[in-house]
Amino acid sequence: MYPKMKRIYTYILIPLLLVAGTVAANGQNPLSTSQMDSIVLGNQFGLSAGGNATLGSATFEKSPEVDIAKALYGQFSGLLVKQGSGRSEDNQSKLRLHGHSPLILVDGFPRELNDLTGLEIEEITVLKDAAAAALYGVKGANGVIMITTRRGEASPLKVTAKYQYGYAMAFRTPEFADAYTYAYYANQAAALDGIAPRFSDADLNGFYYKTDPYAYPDVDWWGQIFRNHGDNHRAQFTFTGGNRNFRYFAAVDYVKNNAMYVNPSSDNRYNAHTYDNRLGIRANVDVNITNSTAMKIGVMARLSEFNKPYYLRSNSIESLLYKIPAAAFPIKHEDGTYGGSTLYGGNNPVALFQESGQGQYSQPKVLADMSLRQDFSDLVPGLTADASVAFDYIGKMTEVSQKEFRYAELVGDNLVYYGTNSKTLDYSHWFSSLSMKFEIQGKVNYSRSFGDHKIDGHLAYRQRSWIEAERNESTKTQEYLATATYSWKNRLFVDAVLNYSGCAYLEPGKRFNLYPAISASYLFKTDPYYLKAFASFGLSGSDGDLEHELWRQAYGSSNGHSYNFGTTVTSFSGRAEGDMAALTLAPEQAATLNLGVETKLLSNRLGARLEGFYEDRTKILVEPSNVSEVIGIGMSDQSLGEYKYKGIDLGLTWDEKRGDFEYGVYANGSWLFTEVVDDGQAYQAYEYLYHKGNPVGQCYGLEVIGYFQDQTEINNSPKQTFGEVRPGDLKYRDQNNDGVIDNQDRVKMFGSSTPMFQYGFGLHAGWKNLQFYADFQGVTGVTVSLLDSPLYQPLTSNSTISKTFLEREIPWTPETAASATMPRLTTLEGDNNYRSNSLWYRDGSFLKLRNIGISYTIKRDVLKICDATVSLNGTNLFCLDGIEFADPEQLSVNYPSTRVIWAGVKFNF
Amino acid sequence: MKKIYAILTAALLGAGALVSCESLKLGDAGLSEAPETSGATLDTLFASLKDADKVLTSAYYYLPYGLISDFDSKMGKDILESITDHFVSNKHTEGDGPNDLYYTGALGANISGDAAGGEAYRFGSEKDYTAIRYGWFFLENADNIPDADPVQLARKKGEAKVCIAIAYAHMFRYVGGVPLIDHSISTDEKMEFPRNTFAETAEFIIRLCDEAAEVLPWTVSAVEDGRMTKASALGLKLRILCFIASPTFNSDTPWHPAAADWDKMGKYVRYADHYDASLWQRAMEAADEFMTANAGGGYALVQATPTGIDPADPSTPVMTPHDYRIAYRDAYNKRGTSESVISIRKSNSTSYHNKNMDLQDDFGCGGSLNWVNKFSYADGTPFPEDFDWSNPSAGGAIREPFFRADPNGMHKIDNATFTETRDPRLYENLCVPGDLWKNGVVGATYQNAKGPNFQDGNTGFLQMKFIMQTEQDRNVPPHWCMMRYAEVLLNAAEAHNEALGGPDDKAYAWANAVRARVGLPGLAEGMSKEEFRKALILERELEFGFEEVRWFDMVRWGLKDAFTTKLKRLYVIGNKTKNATSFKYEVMDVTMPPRVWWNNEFDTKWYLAPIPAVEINKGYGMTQNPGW
Repeated sequence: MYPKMKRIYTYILIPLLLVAGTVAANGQNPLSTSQMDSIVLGNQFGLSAGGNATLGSATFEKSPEVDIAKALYGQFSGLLVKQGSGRSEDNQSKLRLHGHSPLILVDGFPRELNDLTGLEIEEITVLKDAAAAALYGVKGANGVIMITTRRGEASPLKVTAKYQYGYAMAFRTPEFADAYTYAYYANQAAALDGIAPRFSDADLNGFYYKTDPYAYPDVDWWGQIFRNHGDNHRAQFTFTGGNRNFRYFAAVDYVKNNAMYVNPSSDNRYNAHTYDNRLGIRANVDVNITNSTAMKIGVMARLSEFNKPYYLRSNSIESLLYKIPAAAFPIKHEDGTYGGSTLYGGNNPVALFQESGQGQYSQPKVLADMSLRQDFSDLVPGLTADASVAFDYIGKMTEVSQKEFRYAELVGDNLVYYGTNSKTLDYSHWFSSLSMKFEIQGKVNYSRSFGDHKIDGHLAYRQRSWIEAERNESTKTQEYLATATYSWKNRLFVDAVLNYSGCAYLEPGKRFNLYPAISASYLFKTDPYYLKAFASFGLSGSDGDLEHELWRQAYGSSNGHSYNFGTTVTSFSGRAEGDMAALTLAPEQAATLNLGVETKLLSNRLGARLEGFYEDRTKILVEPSNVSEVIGIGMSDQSLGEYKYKGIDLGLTWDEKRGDFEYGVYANGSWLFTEVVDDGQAYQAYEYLYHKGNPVGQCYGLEVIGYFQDQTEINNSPKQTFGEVRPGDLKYRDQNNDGVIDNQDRVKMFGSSTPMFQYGFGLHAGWKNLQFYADFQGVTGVTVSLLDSPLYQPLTSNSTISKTFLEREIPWTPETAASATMPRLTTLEGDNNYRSNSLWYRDGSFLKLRNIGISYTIKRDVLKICDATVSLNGTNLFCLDGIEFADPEQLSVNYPSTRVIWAGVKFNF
Repeated sequence: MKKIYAILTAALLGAGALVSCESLKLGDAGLSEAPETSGATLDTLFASLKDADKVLTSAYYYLPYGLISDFDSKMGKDILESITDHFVSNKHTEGDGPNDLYYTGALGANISGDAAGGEAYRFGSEKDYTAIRYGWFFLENADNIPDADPVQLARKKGEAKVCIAIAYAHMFRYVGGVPLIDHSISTDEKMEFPRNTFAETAEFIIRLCDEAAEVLPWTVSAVEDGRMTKASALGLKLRILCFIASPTFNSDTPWHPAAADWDKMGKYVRYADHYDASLWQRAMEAADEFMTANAGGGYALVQATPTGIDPADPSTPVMTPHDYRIAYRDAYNKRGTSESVISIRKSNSTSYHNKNMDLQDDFGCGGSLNWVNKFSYADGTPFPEDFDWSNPSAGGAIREPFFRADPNGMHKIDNATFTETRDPRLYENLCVPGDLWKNGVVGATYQNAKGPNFQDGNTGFLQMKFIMQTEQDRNVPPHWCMMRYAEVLLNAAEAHNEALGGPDDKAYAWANAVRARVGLPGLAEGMSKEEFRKALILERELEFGFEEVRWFDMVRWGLKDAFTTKLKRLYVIGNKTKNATSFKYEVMDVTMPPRVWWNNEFDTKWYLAPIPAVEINKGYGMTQNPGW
């Protein structure tokens, strides 16, 4: 039952074979040198040597989704975009740069991707080299994604207006069993459990012939909650213009997303529709105050409103839909009371949707920043100074109207009632969270050329604070920075960075660490072809896992327990120490080496970029394993872990224009190899139990060698210690031959939950006014577990069973013993079977068509006042994978992932 | 002019930056003070004696506990008695210690996963060192308490020392010598804690007891009940001295071949490399010390109150078997009695114990017939080994195995006519056929009383102690009476017998007091040292079932027979499936679960627990025990 690992490797070849092409949007060197009349918000330190990839604003036009990360699937080699889950309000994709969660800078300040809309973005750059990481010190080790917003240009007013409608459909939804099928299998499972059947023959007949909808209900709960689509509306406007001394860019973005749920309407006192409404306004202003003074201001304000039935505020309706059988109870009884039962309580999905009330969040968000530049060339030629300040505020208000409802269970011929219908709504509202960020930076720049030599130096001081409305959640960092760049004939570039970076999580006096880095590049040729090689090496840090109080001993009552002195019932409270301080506490430290070449060939049509990286990450916070409890209290995690990461990023592009026809293809691929050097694992009795040397995220489990066919086989096999074993249960291999199957028989199997290879490829083509594009993304060498899907633990804990499962698998019964693909069904916990083992792991590789679109532009000469573009887009329309019954990126219970068809029109005035 | 303009702008810029940030401090100051801790500081912890007492409470909280509870997973939520010859566990729950580790012999140094924690003692994973830490933590900081009443302070320090001593004694009896931590370890300390020898560990415990005894009161008030006393300290000292003086650990020959190398292993698991007679002498002195201190009163056995009516003289109540049962029950179950020398409390909630202890019922766990047969008749006549179970009434009414027949000829408990025929302690330790059990119904001791969780391994006897007949019986604030005065008496008798080469009057008096409490006659006079020793070991079996005494007696006296004797059970058929009133019996062997000790040549390695390899490999200085 081991995987066919070779198959994974064959997938690696796919993108390579599909490659043919040149220059890319991401091929050019984005880091232009600073100009005296403008302040650079992105590459503020003018680093020249690194090889960094950049994409422009057009990228974000391709994906109209609220989550802008969905435009980035497969666009950068080395950057893995993991599809988010949930409804649009919290569906935020996760970015992984070489296995880490990168720092995201918007106009130079750390912000979140969901702070932005695609409309506002000018360009996005992925910084992978060591010098760039060192620039951000104790926040830089995970790599940096640098986003700059659009600025105004010296031109008359330009206005664009755009509207898009998206029709969202669920991608791969489960299909649950009807009442009879459920009852049939529940009885089969009970028989195999050796317990009494749950349903009598009369019950089965009732369900089969549907004799009485109240006594023998058969409810399609999924169909009661989900409609066949969701709606997205998006309207966007931009305004830009100005003159040499005053330029502005303004944007308005309105999004409304109606979830794929039905809209309950039983009570007019509240609104239980599930929607996500957002209105955002950005204004970016650039001013040249004097000939030597420039200023940039950026302000973004956004109000988001998330509405839903009260039940959904802190619960998942999907987890009920995966659990409640069709036969559980009717939606409503004959007398109109909602159905419920002692077993499932009042968890009637329809009732909870309609009768639980309303929950609403509103989230005001303001991001503001200002930068000033003063030119001191008159005092010292080449000297300028910058000052910048940023202030972000994100709050969240919750407002609920709650009510209870009455439900009933049919017992014999009588209804037994539970609960009451609230006469009045229970109304409350509160401030749920507050997050503020504040940053200042002062910087002195010096830039001079002497013949073929150019030097560029910066000294900077940076201070950031993160303020959260919870005790001990706020923190600060401070950085002293010095950078120097030397270039010769625009051919050789050398950057050096020194960052003395401090973090408030650490003990006073030990808060600062020095992060040095150096990078160099050499341009061999620019004509007739372009060839550049680059390399960087340096240190950077990450305090992402740290928190306050790790370095010192805490005292208090959290570990204290009461004790009962006296002959009567009297409790005396206790006080105790917290965990022992972590003396080794330090930020994670990455020592990174990057090497790469970049070339453009065949008249700049073919672009290629190849990078290799090696990272030794140390001081990872791990649970200390060699500490004995002779100490008497717990030990804080210690900064002693070490992981290694290495890999190759490859990017290829081909672009060509022939007359009215232009086209391009691109392909990115990235191999990531990880290794655990030390994750704090304690001594193990057997060599194979150690994680050391295995990939990060490696899967472990018991090796399944078959199903127990009868009790004799069970008696004659090693004792399995995970609860009762009956015929039809999984039989495991005794790896250490000790006659007992326990956790010491878990072995390394399958791959890692982190993909080993990820790739993206796509094409775009244009002919006259017609444009077309398609972007694919895929991963291979990733392992998922079917245990994440409740469909694969049918009937356990009183849950239902799905047709999806029954159509795909054959559970073991004495009759199907020869052809079974799954262990016997059980109505109990099934602890022997439902644990990590080789039956459940699957190859999680997939290839998805992420974004595809076609558009047609009607030129201004036709419409006179503007040009207009009509477009049709699709997201996630196609998926190739081995999971088939569910989204390979989302096996667990959640709001289904969506595929969306978008239609839009855009006017450029 | 331009220059001036530029300088002005620069000044403005700088001022702007300063104003925009309220505190533009550099270095650590800029990162601001570390935020306050989420609770108290060391100073507030010891701000007053009352506050400091809460730290001491933490030491108490982590003391060992004998009942099945959520507090620990000792034996995988099973009882220590399950690995003695008294009891058979059929629990087979996940991680159940007796079945997974002891009966099968699978116990070893490499247990991990679910089975880890199923051991009787898992060095490195128990809470003893936590109790020890809080004890030292209190002692180290106690002198900083402002304005503490010196007498009270000294007393609290004494309590802390007894807590430390109890935690060490608990470890010591399972694993021998251990690393002696004599302070609260700080973070920057080197993680080297070499194992101390058996003798060092014992003397350390004894010294703590002696120091504590100097400052502690002999008894405490009802409000303070449960706090450690001078009696706790002296009682513990006597228990430890008897333990180390016993032949397993005090002998010319090592108890296990692997312990022969004194330096490598012997010193960690034996008191000396030769027999040391002075240990019994010291035990006797400790016994006398306790008894002298108690001369003024304070500790006494809980005595029965007569409630029976003698037809000949109705005005004077007489003792009934039930009266003795109640006295014995109160002795182990009730807080604040004169018999409670060391009492541990984890919870006030009776349900806390009920839900865990009651599980003993659900899996066909039960007492062995071997043990039951050791309980004499109520008049002290030994129960015949060749008792004819096929004709249980042949010997007449008072020679019935459990109950006399009631007027209807039924052999079951009848509290109105007091029908028990055996040593009253039998009925309080085990539920015998015909007796009421929890919730006041006839215990399902018989095979045809198949409940939902019935198992074929039913031995005919269910655990009664700590479970008891009715909810009402249990409805008292629970505690684990770690040491009863009855044990002090029997320990003292033992010390005198061993030190003096035979029982003196005192030894007889102490042992007979324990028997007299349940209406049994005194021991036969004129016994030799060996005979008296045997009688005491038997008396302890009858008196301390389920109180974690038998296991250590088997270990310290090296009772190989107790390990290797195959156990018997009583196959019982009731006249009804529910509330049976008469029974048929047949003696059978306990076959499931079999014990590895019965089949193979017995290995004395079982006397001490294996040290987990995980713990040894941490390299701070712990070493393995013999045979593992």
